[in-house]
Amino acid sequence: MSAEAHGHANHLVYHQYEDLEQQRESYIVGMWSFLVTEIMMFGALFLAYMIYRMQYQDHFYVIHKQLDWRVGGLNTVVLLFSSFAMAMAVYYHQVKQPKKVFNWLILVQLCAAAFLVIKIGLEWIPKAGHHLTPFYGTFEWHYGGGVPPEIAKLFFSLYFAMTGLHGLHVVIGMIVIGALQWMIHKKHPLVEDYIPTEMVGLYWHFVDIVWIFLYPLYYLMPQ
Amino acid sequence: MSEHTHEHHITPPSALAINLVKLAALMGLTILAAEVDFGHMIFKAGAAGTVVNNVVAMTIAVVKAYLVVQIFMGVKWATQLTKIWAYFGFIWLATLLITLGDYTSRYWEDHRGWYANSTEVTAFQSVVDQRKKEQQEEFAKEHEAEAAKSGEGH
Repeated sequence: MSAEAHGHANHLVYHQYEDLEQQRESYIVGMWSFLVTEIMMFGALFLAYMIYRMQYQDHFYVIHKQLDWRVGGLNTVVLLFSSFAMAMAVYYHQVKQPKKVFNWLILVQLCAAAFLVIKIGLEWIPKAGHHLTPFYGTFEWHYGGGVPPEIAKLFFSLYFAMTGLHGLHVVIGMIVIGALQWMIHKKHPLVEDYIPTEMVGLYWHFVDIVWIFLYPLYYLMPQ
Repeated sequence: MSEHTHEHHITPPSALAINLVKLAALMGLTILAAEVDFGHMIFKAGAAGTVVNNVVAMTIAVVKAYLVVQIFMGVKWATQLTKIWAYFGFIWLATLLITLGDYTSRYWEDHRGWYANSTEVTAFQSVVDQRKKEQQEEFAKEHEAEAAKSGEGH
């Protein structure tokens, strides 16, 4: 067999890999194993949420009315669209149009920024103004409903821990996408193959999936 | 997977756009479903409604996550090894949630700070004080018995 049959002729393939497909699979599996650890981290928080939700369902229902489902819904639309934009960036990298990859990634960045502006500006900062932040100032509950302030504090501790960790992932995503864009702009050899974009995409879609679960659990609680 | 001859699958933009529309529709569906009280509709009782509504909301969320994983993340066309890794995390999550069975089937021991209002805390404190007193009395009794024993020894 010639070297070409093994794929060694392809300059994209590093020496430890047999061919491009094997190399790509290794990268993707590596990324997924990282995402498994991410599922474990968020999973523990979801479990904590479920335990207290089962314990204090009636109180949680009253407290959750302080969250606006329309704001959460708007953020859901923004993140779903950003996932689509990310998938489009991967598509254009697969068909080798780096200019379009760059532009679709700008769209993802804009969505991520919009998500954070909505989240922080319309939700987190007003919550601090209403004394509903357990980690900042004094926590107060003056919305009645027979809710003990301790339970409201518990609810908002969970809310800020989970949406905060998710928000942190959005910020990290923006940094990673920015780095990817810079490399594409510089025509860096590492981003000649589409796999780096695909890997960043997997991370971004994961962030989207976390929000898909956070939205109904926090904003659309049944009575 | 010894043969790496197949070309990598490229998902066309039309498929991605259709997936986005599906996800948006499911999001609308989950908002509408939250407005419906399934408990009164099906069981004519409020309590079961919470459970049914939660099951409906979570089922829609799982379908949405499935669409993202399959189409946007491309697991549908991925290799067997990738599929195993991709679904392993979610299977692990389902296993973790079995922990809930423990919380629902066991007695929760009292613990200070779990009670929300002060009267309950006071009531709890009196129980703690009572137990402490009993323990001290028991300890004193044992001590006396031991002292008597060692006294006999002399």
